[in-house]
Formats: sequence, structure tokens, C-alpha cells
Amino acid sequence: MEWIEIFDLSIFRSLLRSTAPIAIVGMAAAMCSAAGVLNIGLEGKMLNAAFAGVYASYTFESVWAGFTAGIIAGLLTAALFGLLSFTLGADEVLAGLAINIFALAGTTYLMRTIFGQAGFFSDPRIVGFEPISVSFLRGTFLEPFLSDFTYSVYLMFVLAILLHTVYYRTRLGTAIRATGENPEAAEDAGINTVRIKWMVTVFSGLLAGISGIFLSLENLTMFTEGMSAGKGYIGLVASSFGNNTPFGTFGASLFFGLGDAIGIRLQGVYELDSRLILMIPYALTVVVLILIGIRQRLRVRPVPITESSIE
Amino acid sequence: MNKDIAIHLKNITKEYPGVVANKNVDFQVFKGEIHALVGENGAGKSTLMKILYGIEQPDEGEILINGKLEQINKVETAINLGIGMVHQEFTLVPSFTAPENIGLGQEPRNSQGIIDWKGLNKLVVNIAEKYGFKVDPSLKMIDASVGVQQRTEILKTLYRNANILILDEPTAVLTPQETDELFTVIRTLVDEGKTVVFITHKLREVMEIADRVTVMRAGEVQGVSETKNTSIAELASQMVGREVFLQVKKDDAKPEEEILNVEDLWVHDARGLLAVKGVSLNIRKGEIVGIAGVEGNGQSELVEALTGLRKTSQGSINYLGENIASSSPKNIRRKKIAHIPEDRTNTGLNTQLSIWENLIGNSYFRKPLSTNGIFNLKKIATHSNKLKEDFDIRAPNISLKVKSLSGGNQQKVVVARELSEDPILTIASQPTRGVDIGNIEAIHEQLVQMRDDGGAVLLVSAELDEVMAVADRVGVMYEGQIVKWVNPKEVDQSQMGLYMAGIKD
Repeated sequence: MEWIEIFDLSIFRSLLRSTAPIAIVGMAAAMCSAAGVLNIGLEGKMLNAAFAGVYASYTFESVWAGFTAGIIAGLLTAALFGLLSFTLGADEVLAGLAINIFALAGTTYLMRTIFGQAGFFSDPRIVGFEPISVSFLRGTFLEPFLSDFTYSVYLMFVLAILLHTVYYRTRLGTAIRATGENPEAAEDAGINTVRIKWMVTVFSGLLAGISGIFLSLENLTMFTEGMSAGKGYIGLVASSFGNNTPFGTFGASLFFGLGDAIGIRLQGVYELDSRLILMIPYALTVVVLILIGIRQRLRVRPVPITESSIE
Repeated sequence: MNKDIAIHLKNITKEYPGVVANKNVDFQVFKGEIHALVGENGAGKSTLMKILYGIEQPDEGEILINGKLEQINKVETAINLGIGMVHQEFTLVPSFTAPENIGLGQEPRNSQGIIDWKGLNKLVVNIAEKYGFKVDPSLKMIDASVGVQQRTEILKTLYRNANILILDEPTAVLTPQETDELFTVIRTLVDEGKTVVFITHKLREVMEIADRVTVMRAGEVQGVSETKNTSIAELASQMVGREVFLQVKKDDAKPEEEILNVEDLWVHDARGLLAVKGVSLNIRKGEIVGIAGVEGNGQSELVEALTGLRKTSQGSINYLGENIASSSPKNIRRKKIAHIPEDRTNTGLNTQLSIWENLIGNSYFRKPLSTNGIFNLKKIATHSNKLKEDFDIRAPNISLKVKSLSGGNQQKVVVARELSEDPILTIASQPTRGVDIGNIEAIHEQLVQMRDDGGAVLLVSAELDEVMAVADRVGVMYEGQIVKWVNPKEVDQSQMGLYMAGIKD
């Protein structure tokens, strides 16, 4: 078994597929964190959207019905988070946790009552997304690398570029960054910081919703209890590792995606315990958190005391 | 005549629960003048300016801007009326450059909504040049000096086309030389047709820069005068309502044996930069040693190192013959070193707790206040009531939360707790910040009393007048070093100003 055999075209494709949900929700987290909103509730938004997506796709036998329902679920969950945090003044962390617990219990309950199923729900009537053949890539050397993915991979690239532009080159972006870094300065400049916080929260609901829909309607067409499986939290860690910037978050998400892709690959090559492989993203999360800690420590590097310390 | 009045606040009344912050205040500023608004802390200056700037709404009264009645119910309205305010606490985004801060919310952009950063930089540089100051468009505010940050704040108001600038205690953070530079800027602004309201409690500055002055006390206007027709003494008595003596009554110090000897002390700040660079100083029994200097020159880190709140990087702190460098705060306190910290609300007190809980902060674990880990509530009450009496803490009872006390009374809680422990060495950092004049006198007297009773005192203060009046010897700190030791009786303010700016002789 050579390493070269692990790193081939299929692992590249698997990398992008694994990265997409984390990157999309991670960029949602980045926008929130940049505006000073610690949005733990992304996990619950993803889960609600994943369920709503499956439910609508099953009911209407249409993937776009599922898509719409998922987004609505994400937005409503985000609105609940905003209501708790900004309108009622609850602690953001507690509001987020409440939403996550509520989403887990709520989707489990609904699945059992509506579908009469426990654990997971799968049905041929559920319509999922089909891969897209990108016409302008056809025939080029990039085709095997970048064509025939489903929407999430392309959305991830578009989002990264779009958000990067918004973040650094529009008034909205500077307003978001100012709100997160010094809300008084933002208010003083006539920026309504509460409105900014609502905006990033609603936007995060949209992205987390989309990310959640892709979980249940893309590579799989099913809903399983707790299927977001910590991706919302991993997105939060990715955004923190990426300094809450769009490109930074994208890069950090690739790291998680790589871990995932290698895990999947190793599973096929070695007789590894699949539960060990499934643990990889979470182990990586701990590793990244340690790296963030080390990075912060390195930033404060005491200046050495030398003769030239006094000019 | 009416059209020459830029601001007219008419019969403004503003009440907070329990306090009348402004009572029938009438305040007029002529177009193109420099108008000083003076008064003690809590006199109502800030409230009045917050009303003008749309942060607060008056309960009664009218606001006329350029002769026109206006409803200013949010900051945006004030900005649109051409009013700009430079707060005492700067409102800058640390990771943004000067132009990014100045243009925030109103950056020039193209039809697609993309910000034209280059255009913004050019615009800012042009405005700065018009008023005779320089900006470095690539310097982030986190790396900028206080003076540069302040100029950025002023530019921010100009960028938003302010014609009336309110400067809230702008000189509090500046050296005398930087203050002079600021005054030049203010004069240029007025020459260019702007109107400036200058809030301060430093009367010398009023006489130097202002055309007219309004004095406030206890929420009411005490008088309006032209500076050429008044004097510091007259303004001071209007401000306080009685004659103030700017001197602290004390005899010459009779220092005895050495209590503290700091040798070649080096300390890093939270960012890992060198804040204290080889400071040596000694304090003897029976003297008050002062540390003067503009804030941010290592004084805070020096005090934190002496009190165990910050690790030292090199050098020794010898206290009664023992090196206590990098020892724990609790250990240091056990050795009878008291600390009045500069940040009263975060370090000095737990404002959510009651007066008595704060008063026993250093002694609750000891007999007689507790036995076997259980409070003796009766003894605590007796102890706390006695301190309340002795230190004149004005509160209905000792169960009141500290946050509901005025700044002066909060500080008295800190002072009472610290000085009641019979300290051998007292380290007082900015002990009278945000405290009104009456209580400033009381705190100064207590520090002198500590000295006369055989204590050693280190007084660190950014208020030059305070250090000069209270301390027996003064070291001037600049960029982490003590650049000069002086006898406060033998130097004048302008000389001190040069030392504070790092000019040694």
C-alpha cells in the first residue's frame, strides 16, 4: 500500500464533497462571529433544515420543495435565535444550546409521529439533488476534477468569493467587522448594530439551512436522528481557525474535509474499525482547537530584553 | 443676533432615578467660538452634551441649532445637523486604519456598492491637510499613539461635515506638549469657521483656549463669562461653590528606613511588549513617592508587578529585605501591602455585591470576621459600619449594592478596605479618578495621614496636580522608564511637561 494510492483523483473529489457542508456552515459562523454573535445554534438550524427538506421532498416528491422548506426551517430557527438573544436579551450561548437541544428532540419526535420511524427515515419518494455537469468544463483537463458535483460544492466556491468581496469591499462588510470589534464605534458611525446582528443571524440561518438540506438530500436521500452530527460546531471551529474571514474559514474547512476524505479512503483500504474512522472529524476539531490556542500564545511573544530595549 | 447662535439649549431638565442631572439648563454657544463647559464630575456636563448629541432625551426643554428648533432623538440626527462629538473614550475600531475608521459607514463606493478605498484615503488626507495635520493612512489604530487616535476622532467628525465639534475632556490623556498641538488644531478649526465646545475641568486650559466659559455645578448653570473677564479663582469657586485650596496641607516628610527597594525591574505587557524597562526606585517609611507621567507609559504594569498581578521579567522587588517579585497577590497582601487599583469598577470592587461584602474583601477569612469558615455576621456588621463612619461613605446602609453608589463613594469603599488594614506600604494608583473635589481632598488627606503615621506610600497618578501636591518625591515615567526624579517644590508645570514627553534635561 503506497501513500500515492491514497491521494488520487477520487480523494480530491471526496475532499471537496466533505468540505462543502462544513465550509458553508462555517462561513455562516464566520459572518456571525465577525459581527460579535457567538452562534452555537447553527447545529440546530442545520438539523431542522435537513428534516424539513426530507419532509417536503417526500410529501411533494420534489427536491425544490425540499430545498424551499429547508431554507424556511433554517430561517425560522435563526429568527428564534435572534428573538431569544437580541429581543429578549438571553445569553447567546444558552439560546444556541437551547435551539440545538430543541432541534434534536423536535426532529426526532416529528420523525416518529409523522413517519412512524425511529433512527432513520428513507423512502423512494424522497427526491434528492442530482450532480451537475458543468458545460464549460467539458473536455478540459479540469472536467474530472470539478465537474459532476452536486450544488453544495459549487455554492461553496461562489460563497467564498462573494463573501470575501462583501467582507472587505462593501459598507456592509466594514459594518459587520466594526460591530464585532467595537460596537460603540459602529453605533457612533450611525450603524445599527442590533440590525447588523440580526442580518448575520438571518443570513446564517439561510446558509445553515442550505448546508442542512444538502446533508439529507444530496449524497444521501434520508433523514437520520441527529444527522448534523456536530457539523455546526465544526463550522464554528473552522471559522475561528480561519480568523472569521471567508477565505480563512474556507481554508480551515478544507483541512476538516481532508481528514474526512482520508478517513473514508482508509476505510476502504484497511480493515479499520469504521467507528474509529467516524471519529476523525471530532478528533481533528480538538486538534484544531489546540492549534488555535497555540497560535494565540505565539501572538503574545515577549520581546527579549536587550541593550537596545532602551533607545 | 439670533442667527449667530450655533447652539441654544433652552431650559433643559433631565432626571435619572434619584438624581437631577440637568435642571433648567440654558446653554448658548456662538458661531465660531471656542466655548468651554466646565464643572466637577457629576455636575451634568456629560448629560447635557449627550442630550445635544442625541444619546439622551431631555425630560423638558428645547434644542435650537442655528436658530432652528430641532428634535434630536438619535445620534444620526445630530450628525446630520453638523454636530460631531469626540468622546473621552475613543470610539475607534482597533484593527482598522485611520481612513477605515473615519469613513466607517459612509465610505465612498461605486454603483455596484464596492468601496473605493483609494478614494477614501485621498479624501481623508485632503481633509487632514486642510486643517493642518498629518495622517498615515496605513497605520492601524491599535498601533497608533493616543494623540494620533484623538486626531483620527476629530477627523471623523470633519469627514461627516461637522460644523460644531464637541470635545469631551480631550486633554485628559495628553502630555502638555500634545495639548499644545491640540490647541493649535482647535484654533485652526475655528479659523476655518467651525464652532468648538470644549468640556474640561482644567481651568488653566479654559483660560488658555476658550473665548467664553459656562460653569456647571450640581446640574445647574452657575455662570457664563468671557474668559478675558474672569479668573481661575472665580471659575473655581463657581465650580465648587466654595473656595478651593489647590494645595494639600502637609508638613515636610521625615523619612526613616527603607521599606521597598525596586531594582532594575522589567515587565512585559499583555501583548508581550516591554512596558517597564529597568525601573529602580525606593520608598522609605514616612514618605510619599509619586509617579507622574502620561497614562500608558508603563505605570499600570509597574503597579501590577509590585502588587503581584503581573509576572516580572527581570529585576527584583525587595520589600523589607525579601524579594517579592512574581509572588502571588495574596502573599503580597499578607505582608501588609495595600493596593488601591486604578480601575475601580473592575479590579477594585465587585459592584454587584454589597458595601459590606466589598469592605471585608481582604479580611473575611480571618478572625474575628469569620471562624472555621463561617461568617460572624454581627462582627462583620460592626466592622463595616465603623468603616462606613470613619471613611464617610455616604449610603443609607451597608447592604446597598456598590454599583448604586456615586464614583466618589465607591472609591471610599476601596480606600476604607485598603487603609483599614494598617498597611506598611500603600500603593495607590489613580486614587481620585472620577471622584469629586470634596472627596479628592479627603483621599489626599488620608494618604498624608498614612505617611504621618509611619506608612510608606506610592502614589501613581496621571493628574500632574495631584502628584505634585501630595508626593514628597516624584519620578516621571516615560516609555517604561523613570526619566527624572524631582522635588515637587522645585519644578514648575512646564518643566514637568517636558519630562513627561521624555525630554530629560
